[in-house]
Amino acid sequence: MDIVEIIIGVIALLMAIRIFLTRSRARKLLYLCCLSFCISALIALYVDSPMGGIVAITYFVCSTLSSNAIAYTIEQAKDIE
Amino acid sequence: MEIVEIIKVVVAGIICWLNFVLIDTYFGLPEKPGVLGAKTIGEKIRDIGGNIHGGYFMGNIVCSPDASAGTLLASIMSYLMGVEGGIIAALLVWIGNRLCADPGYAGTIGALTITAIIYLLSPIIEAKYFIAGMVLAIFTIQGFEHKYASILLGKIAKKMNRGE
Amino acid sequence: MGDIAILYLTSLIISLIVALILKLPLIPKEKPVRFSFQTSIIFPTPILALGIEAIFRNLFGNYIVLAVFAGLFGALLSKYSDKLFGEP
Repeated sequence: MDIVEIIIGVIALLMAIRIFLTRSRARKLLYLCCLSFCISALIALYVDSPMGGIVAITYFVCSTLSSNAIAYTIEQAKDIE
Repeated sequence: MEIVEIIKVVVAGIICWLNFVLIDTYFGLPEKPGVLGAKTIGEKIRDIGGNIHGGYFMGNIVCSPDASAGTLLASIMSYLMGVEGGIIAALLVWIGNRLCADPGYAGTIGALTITAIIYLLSPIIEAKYFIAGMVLAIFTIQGFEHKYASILLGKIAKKMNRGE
Repeated sequence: MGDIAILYLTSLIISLIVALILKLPLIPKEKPVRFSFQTSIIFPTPILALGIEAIFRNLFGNYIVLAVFAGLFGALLSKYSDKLFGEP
C-alpha cells in the first residue's frame, strides 16, 4: 500500500462514520461530498489508466448532480411542511 | 522516506487549498447561493453558529462542481495523462457545471491553474501527491468542523470584498 | 513535440475564427461577468476547442483534419450551449 492511498482511505472511512453519526439531513450532504472526493480519487489511483480518469470524472459529476437534487428536495419539503 | 512523502502531501494540500479557496471566493461563491439547495445548507450552517457566507460557499461546493472539483479532477488527469489530461478535465468540468446550472468560470479556471502549477512543480512534487493533498484540503473544509470552517471562509470572503 | 503544438494551435485558431463568424461577443455583455451565463470568445470557446482536440488526439491520433473539426465543434458547442443544457 502506498502512503497516498492510505491517507485517502482513512479519510474516506472517517467520513463514512461521521455520515451515520450526524443527525442533520442537510449537513450529511457536506460529509457525503467529502466522501465522493475520496472515492473519485481512489478510483483514479486504482484503475490507473486514462479511462479510469474519465470514470472518476463521470462519477464525481453525477454525485454532485444527485446532491444538488437532494438539497433542492430538502428545501421544497420544508415549504410543504 | 515516509516523512518526505508526508511533507510532500502536506505542501501539495496547502497549495490546493489556496488555489481553490481563492478562485472560488473570487468568482463569488460566498456572495449568493447559486441554486436553491445551497441556500438550505447555508442556513443550516448559520443555525449551528457559523457564518452565512461561509455556509453559502460550502453549499455551492456540494451542489455543483466548482474550483474544488476542478482541482481534484485536473490533478487526477494530470497524474494519469500529463498536461493534456488537465485540459480534458477542464472541458468535462465545464459540462458538469452547465448541467448543474452554474456559469462554470470557477471550475474551469481552477482546473487550468492547478494543471499549470502541477506542470511547473512536477520535478519536485509529483501529481500523485496533489490528489491526496486535495482530499486533505477538502477534508479541512467539509469534513472536520463546519462551524469554524465557515467562520474562516466568511472572513476570507469579507477580505476579498465578496459578501458584506 | 512540435507537431502536437501545431495541432493545438490549429484547433485554437479555427475555433476563434468560427466563433467570430457565429457572432459570439468578445466578453459577456451582462454585468457582473462572474454570474453571467452568456458564452463569449474568451470564455469558454478556446478551452472547449482544446479539450475536444485533446480527446480526439488521444483516441484517434495526430491528424490535422481532426484538429480543424475539434475547433469547429468547440465553437458550435460554445454558441449553442444554452439550447443544449437548457436555460438557467
